[in-house]
Amino acid sequence: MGLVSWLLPLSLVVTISFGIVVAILAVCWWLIFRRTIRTFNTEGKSKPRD
Amino acid sequence: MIDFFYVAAIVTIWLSIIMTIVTLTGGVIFIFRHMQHTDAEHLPALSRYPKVTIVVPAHNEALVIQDTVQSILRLHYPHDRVELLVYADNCEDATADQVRALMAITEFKDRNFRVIERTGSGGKAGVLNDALKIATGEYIGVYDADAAPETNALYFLIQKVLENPERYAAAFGRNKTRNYQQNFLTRCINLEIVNTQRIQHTGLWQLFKIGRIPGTNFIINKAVVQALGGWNNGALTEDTAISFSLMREGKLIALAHRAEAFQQEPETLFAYYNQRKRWARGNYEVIMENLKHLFDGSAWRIKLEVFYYVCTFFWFNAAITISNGIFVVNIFLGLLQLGIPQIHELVTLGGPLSILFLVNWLLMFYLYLLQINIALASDYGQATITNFLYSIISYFTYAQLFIVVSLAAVGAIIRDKITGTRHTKWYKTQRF
Repeated sequence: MGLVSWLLPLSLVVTISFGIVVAILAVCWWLIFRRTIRTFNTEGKSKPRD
Repeated sequence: MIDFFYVAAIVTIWLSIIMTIVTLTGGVIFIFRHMQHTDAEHLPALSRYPKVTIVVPAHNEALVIQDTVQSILRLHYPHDRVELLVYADNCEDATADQVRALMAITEFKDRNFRVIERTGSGGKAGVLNDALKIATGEYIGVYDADAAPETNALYFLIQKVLENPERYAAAFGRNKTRNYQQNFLTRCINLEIVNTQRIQHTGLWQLFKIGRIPGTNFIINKAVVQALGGWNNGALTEDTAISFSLMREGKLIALAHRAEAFQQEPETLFAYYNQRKRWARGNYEVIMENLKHLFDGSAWRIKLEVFYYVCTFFWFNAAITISNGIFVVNIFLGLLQLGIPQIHELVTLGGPLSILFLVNWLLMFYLYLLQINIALASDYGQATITNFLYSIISYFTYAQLFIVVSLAAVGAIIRDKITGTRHTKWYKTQRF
């Protein structure tokens, strides 16, 4: 398991970086969800949508 | 040796995570930038209205063709700037008669449209090449026979190409599933379509100005297609082939995200399997044809597109197939071990390594859910609890179908190479 010895610390850094980015994207999902739901509810079905 | 596989596996997972994060980030930026838009009822006039020849290839489409033609004729675009050519391609039903019946209706009496009964070969690409010879429009628009474009679809497509007519040789809109509530399969296809349209397409356009021509709901500059020599006759995925040709010429395929059209998706596994197998096979052929551009002096967009396709159709597919194979063999050996203790599993992960793989797999799964649900949140009426539950289930069911379809497509290509023949049977998608 010689290769794995350097793989583990590197993986930890990479995985934590991914985790941070994904957490930011999750916040984006919530912001989009909140804004679009409000827009769709106010505009109604007959209005244009994006 | 086993260490090498661990490294290859983790690098593969990281690469797929990076590609997903990049596309998703682009998609999110696009969504935020386009939340505010002009009211569709008060759209500004265009600087000019180029003439458009809309082509509808139809093979035994009597059931749906009238609705499609009516939707096209009712598009909000100057009527004298639209020419409609409906090709009844090798039809054995009343497709042509159904179109002719519309000509008698007062509303459409003065409209420029006709039906052409065709008996030639070449499939859809053959139809488009025939239309290319007689089209009088500056742009050619294509709608499938089951398409129902929204009234402003053509306006938005033209508006987009006019932003930069020299560079934007084509523009494509969004397709939506009209029969998504039919069953489990159509609901899963709908998730895939929404995700493709709202994350993949927008992300690639936002970050790299890369677009791909879909099979329907797009316009393309006639002179540019003529200069390219037309569509690739008999191509299984003529849309992917022409997209690469345009990019090789340094042209861009622009995303007109507000040009929307509804279409029907397969409702049975058989129809789905055959449709996707044809697409996968066509894509494999186009990738093989363009593989050389990874290493020559082609533009970076071509390289990026080839790299993306190679990763998706070759690298990731192979990785998933191998890992699934190991998983099944491990289960089998594990069961045998209950009776025969001397037998050991093929691969066992222990300690930190198992946690590492588990965490990365969870990240992948979470990203899958995240991108689908961001796409759903940005689409009207799609952010529902039902769709959220389907997004979870689809990962373990529908998403795995891609592997089966891809393997079948590879098998068909290898078989054709060995036998020196080409077995291409077109399964028509059943209409409802």
